[in-house]
Amino acid sequence: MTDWWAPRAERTTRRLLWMRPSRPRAEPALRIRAAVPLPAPTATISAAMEAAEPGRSLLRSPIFLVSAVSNVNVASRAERDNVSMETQPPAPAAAADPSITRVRPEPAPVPPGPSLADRLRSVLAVPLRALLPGDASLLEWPAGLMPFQLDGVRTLLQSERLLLADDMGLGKTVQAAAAIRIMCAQRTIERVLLIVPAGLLDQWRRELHRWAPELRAIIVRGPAHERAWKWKAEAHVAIVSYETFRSDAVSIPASASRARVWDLVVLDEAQKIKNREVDVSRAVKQLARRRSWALTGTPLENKLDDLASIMEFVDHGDGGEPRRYAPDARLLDRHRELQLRRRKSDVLAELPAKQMITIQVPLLPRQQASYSRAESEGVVRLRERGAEVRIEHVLELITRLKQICNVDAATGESAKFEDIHERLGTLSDEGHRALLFSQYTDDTFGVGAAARALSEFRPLTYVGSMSGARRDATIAQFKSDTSHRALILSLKAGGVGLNLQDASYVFHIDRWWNPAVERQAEDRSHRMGQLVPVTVFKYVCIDTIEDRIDRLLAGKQQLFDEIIDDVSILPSRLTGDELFGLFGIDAPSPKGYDRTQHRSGIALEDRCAAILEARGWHVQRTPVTRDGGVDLVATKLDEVGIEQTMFVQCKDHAVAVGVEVVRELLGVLPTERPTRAVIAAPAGVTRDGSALAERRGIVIWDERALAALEDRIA
Amino acid sequence: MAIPFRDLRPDDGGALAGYLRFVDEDGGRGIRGALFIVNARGEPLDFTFSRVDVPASFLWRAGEARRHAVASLVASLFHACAQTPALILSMAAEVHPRLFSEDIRVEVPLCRIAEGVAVVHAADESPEPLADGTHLFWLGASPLADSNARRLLDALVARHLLLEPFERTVKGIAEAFDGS
Repeated sequence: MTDWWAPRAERTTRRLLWMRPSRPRAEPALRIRAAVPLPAPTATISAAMEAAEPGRSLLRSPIFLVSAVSNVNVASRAERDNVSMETQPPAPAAAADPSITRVRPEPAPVPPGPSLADRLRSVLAVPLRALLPGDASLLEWPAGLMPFQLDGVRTLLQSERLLLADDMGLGKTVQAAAAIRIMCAQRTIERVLLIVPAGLLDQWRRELHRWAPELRAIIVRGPAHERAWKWKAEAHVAIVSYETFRSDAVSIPASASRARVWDLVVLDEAQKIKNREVDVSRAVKQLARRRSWALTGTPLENKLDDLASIMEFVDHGDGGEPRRYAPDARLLDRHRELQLRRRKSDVLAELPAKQMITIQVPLLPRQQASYSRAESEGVVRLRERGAEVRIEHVLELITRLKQICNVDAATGESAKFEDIHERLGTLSDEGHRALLFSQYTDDTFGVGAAARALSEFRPLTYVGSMSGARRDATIAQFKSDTSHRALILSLKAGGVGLNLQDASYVFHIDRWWNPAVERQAEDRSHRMGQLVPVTVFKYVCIDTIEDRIDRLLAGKQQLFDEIIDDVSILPSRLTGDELFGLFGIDAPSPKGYDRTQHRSGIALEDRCAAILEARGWHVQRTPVTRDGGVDLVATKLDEVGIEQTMFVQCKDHAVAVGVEVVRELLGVLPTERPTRAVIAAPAGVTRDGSALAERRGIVIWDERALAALEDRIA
Repeated sequence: MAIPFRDLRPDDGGALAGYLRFVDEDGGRGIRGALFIVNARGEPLDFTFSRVDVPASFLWRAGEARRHAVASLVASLFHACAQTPALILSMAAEVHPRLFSEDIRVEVPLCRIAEGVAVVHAADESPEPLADGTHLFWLGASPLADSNARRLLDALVARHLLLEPFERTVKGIAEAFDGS
């Protein structure tokens, strides 16, 4: 620029001194315009416009219009990115007047990065606020969005990587659909892959049709030849189930799903990929993509590894290559950066309350007899197995007993169904309808049995074995025909994604191990659009296995509530010791460790406390049921008078404890000051756990170490 | 009509609005300008930009040099622009009232806009206050109620887009001259 500026200024000055003041002359204008009207994709010439002389050139870029989204999408990406260039003669006045100093900037070197046309297209685009749902929006929206949802849409629009982890029922689907629509309208994206649970395929298409009517969405399903052309179809959004996607991606490495670079890949109910070792997890992370959004209300169901796997999808490399996350502090830091999570209590003050009621019912006489017989026989069989007994054997017995708690198959007696029948009768008379969840789908103990017992309420059933079309028809029928007073769903198939605000009462016929799963199911009803309070009934048969499990889970539930939003470990599953303990049986001991010496976790705490106190530590115990991941907190002053703190977690398990125990302890250690941490696990720690503990400075006290410490005291 | 059809597009007559903006370069030695054409929905259609040196000579009266520089710039922009807007809007603070009465004669409705500030307007301008405090100063008479210009103006106002394209124009100018 400097080169041409100086001589021109000199010439101009000279002319002004000896002639009349020269009228200033503007540089011949440059023009960038959109190709209108659509869909005339003008004959474009891909050219490096930056290399042209702006003074003689007229730039034309086919900037498409938001209003003609349907036409825009006909154009290929190549057409969009092409920039045409035409030669424009200088302005007549300038050409005729020889006194005019024509400005001829030096041809600019071709800069890296986007072209001027691209940059102008970006800054001149219709502003986001004019596209968001609202009274003055340029796009027609079927309804308004709540402020927090608008924030969510804005965040999605600004994020190439996002874990949208709003509470269930806050409208993650709507937010994603609106963001996809706006990005398509802005031509930021053109091809979206949406991977959803099979039961939600049609619901997603309906939502897209409602919230983004001009977008073409296609469900990839059906026989292989049909899927083949669907993958290649010119659609804005390809919707596919996890199962179909896995099948196509794994069995056909060159399938269209993997051959293409997706502008955006969205995983709905992203907890489906919580296990990084399954095919579908690996396949989604291998997708070439520019943006990754994961939608789930429960990014962490059981352990930090769940989150790590989801984050590996969300936080893709710039080239789309997969990243690997270990469940450690780096994961949590990155998670905080990429997660958007809003809780119902924070954003939906107007959402009706959810009332939880635990119904404790005694078994009916003959049902009780069957139950007692099954339990005593089962325990005897467990004991007979001796050292060969496995957790699977315990789970088998638990399942059997839980099923009897639902229905005694021999007599047909069911205390739960009787109670539900009575309550449903009252509710039905009052005009209410209900959702009932069971983890069993069969006709003997589960959904089918409940439907039979409650037939007078014309219940509909919804289970995973039904086809997608039939499931959709069932939901539609329940919503449209209020004579069906109940919808009975399997917890697995109906627990996620459905919008069932038509019912305000939820019954958990039986209990699941994980509170998050139950909560998801309840939120089918307790979600946006619900106008009346939701009441949740949870059934527990008194003095049964359900009663014992419920007590064990109660402590964990509180811990869940405290830490789920801080992304800590969720120890919602029962340990092996706890499972065996349900029947008063000790878990088998590993070689080299005689558990008979230390029969409970309390005993181990005592042992560790004695060791520490003998070494001058002041030991405090945390509450048994709410230890927050730490059993003992020991303090003492060092030589210079500074207080030292040691946190001890005691794990008196039958087998070596896993890496999750180390992570659990890491998750609760204070970060603001250096601390010592110990895991006391007589049976030892697995190799992974030991490695992590060593890296993070956590000391392991196995049986040998404990014995050595005790020897020194003696 | 051989093929019966209904045109479902908004009935704004396809009218376009031209937004004129000018930005002084550092030191006041030059002026950058752009004419940004949008439709009634604020969608970008055409962007024409240029610059001009402002003569720094004692032969020019104060203010006159800038006015003539702007006139020259406007002439260049209008010449290059291939679209014919139904309405041209400019900022009252940037455009001298005599520019479009003495230097440049425009054949389409044109108004200068002021956001709630007192603005000196020429005798041949028709002021029109809007409900939100914005003032329009029409060159000559304001457009009639059923004219394309009026419908276009109403559509932009209804969508809160009367002033917003001015902001985009400035961003476009910055990007065109300073972006990389």
